[in-house]
Amino acid sequence: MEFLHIMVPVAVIIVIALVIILFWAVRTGQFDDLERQGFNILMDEEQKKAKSKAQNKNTEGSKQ
Amino acid sequence: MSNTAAQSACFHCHQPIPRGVELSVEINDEAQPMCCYGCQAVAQTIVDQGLTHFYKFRTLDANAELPLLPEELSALDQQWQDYDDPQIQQEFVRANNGHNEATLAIEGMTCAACAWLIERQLLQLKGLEKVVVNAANERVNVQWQADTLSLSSVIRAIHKVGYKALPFQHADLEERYEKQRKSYIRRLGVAGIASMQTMMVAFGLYYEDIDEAHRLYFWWVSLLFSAPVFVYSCEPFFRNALRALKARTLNMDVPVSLAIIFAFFASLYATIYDTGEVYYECVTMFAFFLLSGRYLELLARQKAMTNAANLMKLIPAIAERETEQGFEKVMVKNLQPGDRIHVRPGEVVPVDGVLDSERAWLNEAQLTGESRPVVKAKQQDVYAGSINQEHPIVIDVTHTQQNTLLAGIIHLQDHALGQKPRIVQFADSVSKYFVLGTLLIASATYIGWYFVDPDRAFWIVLAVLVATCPCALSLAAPTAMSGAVSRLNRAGILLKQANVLEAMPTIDTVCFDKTGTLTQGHFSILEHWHHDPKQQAANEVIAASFEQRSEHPIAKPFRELAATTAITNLSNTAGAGLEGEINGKTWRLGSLAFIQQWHPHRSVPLAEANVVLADEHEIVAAWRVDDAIRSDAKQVIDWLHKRGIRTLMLSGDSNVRAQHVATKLGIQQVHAQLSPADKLNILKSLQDKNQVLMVGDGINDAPVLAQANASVTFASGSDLAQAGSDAVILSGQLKGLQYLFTTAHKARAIIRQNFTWALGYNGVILPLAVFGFIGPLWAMLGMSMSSVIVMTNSLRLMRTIDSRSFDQE
Repeated sequence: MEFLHIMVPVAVIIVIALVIILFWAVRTGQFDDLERQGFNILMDEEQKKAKSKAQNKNTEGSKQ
Repeated sequence: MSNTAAQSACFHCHQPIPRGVELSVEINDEAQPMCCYGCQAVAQTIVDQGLTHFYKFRTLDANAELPLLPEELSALDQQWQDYDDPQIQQEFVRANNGHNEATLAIEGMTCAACAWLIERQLLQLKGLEKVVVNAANERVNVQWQADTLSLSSVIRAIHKVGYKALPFQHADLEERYEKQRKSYIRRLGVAGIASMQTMMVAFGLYYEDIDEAHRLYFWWVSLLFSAPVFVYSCEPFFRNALRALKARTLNMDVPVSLAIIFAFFASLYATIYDTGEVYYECVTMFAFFLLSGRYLELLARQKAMTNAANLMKLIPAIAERETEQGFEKVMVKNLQPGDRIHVRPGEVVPVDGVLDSERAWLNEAQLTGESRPVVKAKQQDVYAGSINQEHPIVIDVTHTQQNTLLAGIIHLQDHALGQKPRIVQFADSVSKYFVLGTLLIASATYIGWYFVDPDRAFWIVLAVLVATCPCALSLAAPTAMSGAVSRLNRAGILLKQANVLEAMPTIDTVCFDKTGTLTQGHFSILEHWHHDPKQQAANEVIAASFEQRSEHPIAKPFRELAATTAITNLSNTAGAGLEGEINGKTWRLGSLAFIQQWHPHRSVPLAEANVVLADEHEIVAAWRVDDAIRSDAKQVIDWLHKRGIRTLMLSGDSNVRAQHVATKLGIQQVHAQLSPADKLNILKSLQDKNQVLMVGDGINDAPVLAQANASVTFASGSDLAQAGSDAVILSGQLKGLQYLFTTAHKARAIIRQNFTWALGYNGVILPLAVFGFIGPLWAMLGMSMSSVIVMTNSLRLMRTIDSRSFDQE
């Protein structure tokens, strides 16, 4: 049962770290919009397309 | 028609005219050729607005973009530029060394994809530093360099992708909610993490073969984890309990706090003196469950509030004041009685005043709930909050700010709100007796056991307090409430007052407002008749062409009916109709009376037709144009009648029109031509015997909504009515009312089951604990089980909705 004397303090440290991360997250507004960020992973692909389209337009513009 | 080469270009857009198109608009008494219906409509609008000077003065430089709209018509762009004025920006822009920051409320945003689109669009702007779009509250926060980018170009960029953006000022109330929400997340997080740890440790303690040293070690570890929960997470309960005690009342937070305090200090005592039992996991779990319930409730309330606040934009913050040199832009708050201001079509009148233009069509829906624009003549009063429909008008200011009629109505509503919390008082008095009872029994037990066995007295009292801990009891209602709230949210119904769920099942009378509630709130063509059905299309073209020239609000649905054709010799008889020539034939369009002046012996087979078209010989077509009844209104009212609920209509509209709608829907009682004060009186007299639900919109309804036992509005109603009602139906369907009823009934059933269980359990366990048959450990286990059962029962409210909504799909 000796391992408990190490594992429990480790658990305490992890919990303290968790609480610090939580407070940081709340302070920096990570919880402000829970609907939106989940979609970001879906949007990435389109984002590149939109960018390349914009670039195409720019090159077309410069040709003229 | 012989078109010369010069004439073959469109007068409006200077594009060549396609062959076969013969459109024209009379500009400065000369018919000018047009290339398409679009240009014709725009040119016609420009003429109608008296802006033909635009054509004279616009630059026709080949390299420059041809201006297609006079400045006055691009009022939006103008309005945005107003926001670049540093004096006006003071109100909502936070400047910091050339870096400006502002929050804009976005209209038309429906999902995360919209947020993404807006972010993309804005990031292309030069000088933009940071943009964060929040899809949850439909706002965007932008930061930009003041010298390279203007706020108006940010707004224009958002407008280009199809959304409306307007500067927005944080309301104090909302900021307070935001702080509260963040603090709840922190407290909830701490309680959640700590309860995981204490439960883990407590699990180890359940094994009997644990040795003394380890047991004590575990107790101290649990103490370490639960102390922050006790001090930090539970603070709101203690604060509420203290506030109640100071006000000499008892609320549910008093027993909650007592149980937490007793359980924690008893455990602390046990830990320090190494005796008895500990209940740390009970403290942390209890705090976690209670906090999650409160957090969900707070979220629902906050969501409803941000929606309402988004509507309170700064639009009428700027007015145009007449000075000797012309018009100048001023802040509305700087206007004084005696000033003269200019209000453009589509703008909101910012103050009360007297009309100084010949005539004005104003939409006073915000004040009266009546969707039909009213006509005002010179010297008549106009009120803040009404929308100018047609011409630019001039107003002499009489009352500003807090002295306007609008402010008066809002004040009335505040007053009505202040008298409300009867239900809250009832809940308080019940819990007061409950808490009193618990405390009395605990004291009596202590005294009794002190004489029997002083050593056991404290532990038995603790068992009594823990066993009777109103844990399950205090969870019974809130968990069911949050379940119901989220269920309704998903169906597009926002609850602003959770107690509407308590009030709904007792409702036996429902009062409806007419306009915008039972009806759609705008005109549409309901019936039509054509002398020769084959001619329908041709008749519609003629009607559309005439109504294109009409300013009457009834003309609107016709304009969308068909393409238009040119009319010559047009004459307008105010309040009656129009006469004009199309291809050499004379036509008349207007009221039946107007047509009968021409053809005295003709009549129309369509009863209640209010727009009639006739040629030189006879009546060729007739239409009935009215505010259409909502498609689901009949169904909902029948459903209410089936449940034995009485229906009434309280309308500000004329008797005939109200009666007409009522008979169609089968509404039992009609009160028409009511002022806001009349409505309030009728409602109050109804409340003597009945529980009344008010369904309405319009600010004039706001005091009535606040007075009713429960109230519901639609999202399309005016902003303030939303603030005054208990629930808002976002879907815009009357059926939402039905859903609200059934959900409230379900929630009540679940709350009753929960109370029965919690009270039953407490009733059985209490005597056992009092007589010392149950130790604190079993009392705690029983209490936790009881809470879990209650929670699970409440969660059924959320689960049933899933299967239900799938069924519906």
